[in-house]
Amino acid sequence: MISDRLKSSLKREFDQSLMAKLGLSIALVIILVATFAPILATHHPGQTGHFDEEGSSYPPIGFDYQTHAWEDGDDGRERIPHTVQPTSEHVLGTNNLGQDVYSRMLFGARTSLLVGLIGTGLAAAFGVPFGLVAGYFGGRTDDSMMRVADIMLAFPSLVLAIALIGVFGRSVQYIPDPIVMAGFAEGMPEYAVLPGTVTLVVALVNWVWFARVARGEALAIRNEEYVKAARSLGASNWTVLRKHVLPNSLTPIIVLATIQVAAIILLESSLSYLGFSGTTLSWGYEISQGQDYLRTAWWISTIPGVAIVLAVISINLLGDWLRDALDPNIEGEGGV
Amino acid sequence: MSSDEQREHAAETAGTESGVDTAGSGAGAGTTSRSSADSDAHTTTSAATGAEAPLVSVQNLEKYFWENDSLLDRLLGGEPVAVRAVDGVSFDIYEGETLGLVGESGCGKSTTGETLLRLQEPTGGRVEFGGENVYEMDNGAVTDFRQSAQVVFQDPFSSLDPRMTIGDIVQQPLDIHDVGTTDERRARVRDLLERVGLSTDQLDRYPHEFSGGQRQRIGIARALALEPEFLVLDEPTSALDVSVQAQVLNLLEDLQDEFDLTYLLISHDLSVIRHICDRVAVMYLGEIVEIGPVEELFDDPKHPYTKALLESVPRATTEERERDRETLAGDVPSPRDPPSGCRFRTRCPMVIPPEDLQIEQETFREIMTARERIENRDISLETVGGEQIEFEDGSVPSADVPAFVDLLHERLFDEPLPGRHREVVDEALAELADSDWEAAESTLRMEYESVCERENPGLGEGAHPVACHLYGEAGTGENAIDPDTWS
Repeated sequence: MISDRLKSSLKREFDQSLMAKLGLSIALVIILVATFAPILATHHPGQTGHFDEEGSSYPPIGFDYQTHAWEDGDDGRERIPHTVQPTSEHVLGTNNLGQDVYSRMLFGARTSLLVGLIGTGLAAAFGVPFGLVAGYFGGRTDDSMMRVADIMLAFPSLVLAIALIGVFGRSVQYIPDPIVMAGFAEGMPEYAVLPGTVTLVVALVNWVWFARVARGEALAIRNEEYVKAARSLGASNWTVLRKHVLPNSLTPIIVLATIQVAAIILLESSLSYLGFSGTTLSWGYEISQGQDYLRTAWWISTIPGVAIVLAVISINLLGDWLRDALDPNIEGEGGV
Repeated sequence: MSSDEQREHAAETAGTESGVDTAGSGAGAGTTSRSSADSDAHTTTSAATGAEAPLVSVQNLEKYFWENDSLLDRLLGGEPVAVRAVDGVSFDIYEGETLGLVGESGCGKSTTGETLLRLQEPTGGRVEFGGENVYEMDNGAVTDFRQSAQVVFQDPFSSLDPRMTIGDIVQQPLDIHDVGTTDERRARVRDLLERVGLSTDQLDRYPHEFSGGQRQRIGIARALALEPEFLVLDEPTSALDVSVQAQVLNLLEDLQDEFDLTYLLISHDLSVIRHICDRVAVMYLGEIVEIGPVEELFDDPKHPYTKALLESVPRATTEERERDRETLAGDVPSPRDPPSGCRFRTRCPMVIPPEDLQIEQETFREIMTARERIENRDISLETVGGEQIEFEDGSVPSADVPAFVDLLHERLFDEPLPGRHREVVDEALAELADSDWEAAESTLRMEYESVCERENPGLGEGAHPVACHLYGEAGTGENAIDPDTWS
């Protein structure tokens, strides 16, 4: 299915674009980190109580506290961070519960990627056939199917997601971690956590985008003469959909899927920030943990925030690269 | 059509077939003339099978497309508008012959082809293939029909799936109908590609690696894979270079002889039609206006539209420079609202005036055109008077009416109309001074309504039927022009 022309187009676009290189490198790092989290982590992500001698969270390397007295002579003294280099076993510090932030970021990447990829897969698995059928058959079928999709779109996605979680309840699936099981990482959690309801819900919220794109493609492709030719050969609608309509509509769907991974990671972060995720090992949840300590221990919220930004940006850059490479009508921006 | 007439028709077809070499008429630079051996082969096929029932019989086929027909339109009370792409078309195709379907763009040729293959469901009428109604077949019969009737499309760039290899494309019909084992299918694909003149080591290439002519050959190989009896060729050469056109046409002719194929060739290119067809049907605005054997139709066209169509073909002679080509006036009317009576009357140079009217054809034509504009409200009355005549609330001050009529007359007619006609027409134009369109219409209709707008002539029967009043009862009146005098 991947022709030589496509390969060379992907490569040319990649060579020309700094953004594509940046996006791909960051995305690869995130994928590697998420896969090998138990090996790369320094502490068990759930282990609490890592506080310094004064009972405060450890700051990241390169930062330290400074004791600050308020000017009005109040005896309430507050410790705020300043930049002195300590050596620390906690690279990115610890959070309000004394958990190692670095290790939690690694395991949080797993949650984000799992939800992002599985959620996108489910959304595409439902939305693409839905849209292809609507677009291919057209007429009344199309009208009624796309009205359903429009109704889905009319709800704000976050509200819809929260309502659905309310209906389904929060369930979490435990997936055995092969790396830990094989004994490569002593003392790490034996199960990776997949927030199942959230995955299902983000798919239910986002399948509409796949349906719309697939419908548009099918509408155009069903009038192509090769579809008429196939029908005059006696091909059934099922055969035409599978052999002609689906393969020829894949390009924009692949681009959309890439961007949807980012959108779903963002939605998952929002949900877990609001506490609907069902797992605490998530970037969004970490942000909500740290928001009360922004002035004194800024890293608890900021670091997961940066992680989310990096993940979303890198995936979007990948999406842009694919779009430019796959669509001959868009001239690449060239080197940035 | 009785069986006697069919026999007669077949004999005529065969007769013209073995006659004059047709290719000299300019079928393109590289066209080679049809060899006499080919003609003989055709003659025997047609003669042997002609006595039987037609292979394909199209009866009153209708295909309307509906506009403003969605649920929303209906809720808002909009009336659906019928676009009459094909409006009651009937013809027969006999085994072994090539029937040409010719007409301007948008006249419904391709829709006819697709509908008779049941690629679109018809609005009315029936198509019989081998005696069986195509639209009432059950699934099994449709599968058989799909094997025996195939189509070659116009655009060789969109008719091949860009994501399939050539081998897969040609093999697809065999896969769909589950013909033979995998190895047998592969061998058949190789045979087919060789037969249409492509090399078999290109099996794994993609369509975009081929030229237009090669791609059209691939399309033909695919259409032939199931050994069909009948092929619809939907403008198979109009997207190709002239030299390649000739190659593809010759290939199609060779294949017809080799596999005993029956063709319906849809084209707007008269030289292609003349080169390859046995009989020709001329289409105008969803109707067939004339069917006849190719030589007869080209040498002695009957319908004014056919005459005009043939007249419009540039000829490769030096006299051509001097020739004043009579091209058709006006545009093709919209199939949403086709003219009453004969559909060609709005552009016809030979409209039949009423029996009791003394009038030159040229004058009559001008009045018809003016009437057409009035009926379509296609005159902006405000601008007629210019600065001098006031035009308010849709009327002109009574003192200015004569001046207004003169100006309007000048605008509608190159030369002032002679005698009595000027009086009648000016009476109608005076009614327009009050924006009374209906009155103007009826005044003119009373005087000038032609049989051509009252009745649709309908296509007659026989070997060379023509849908024109000039050849019916109305054509015998003294006002009708002898169609043979016009050129």
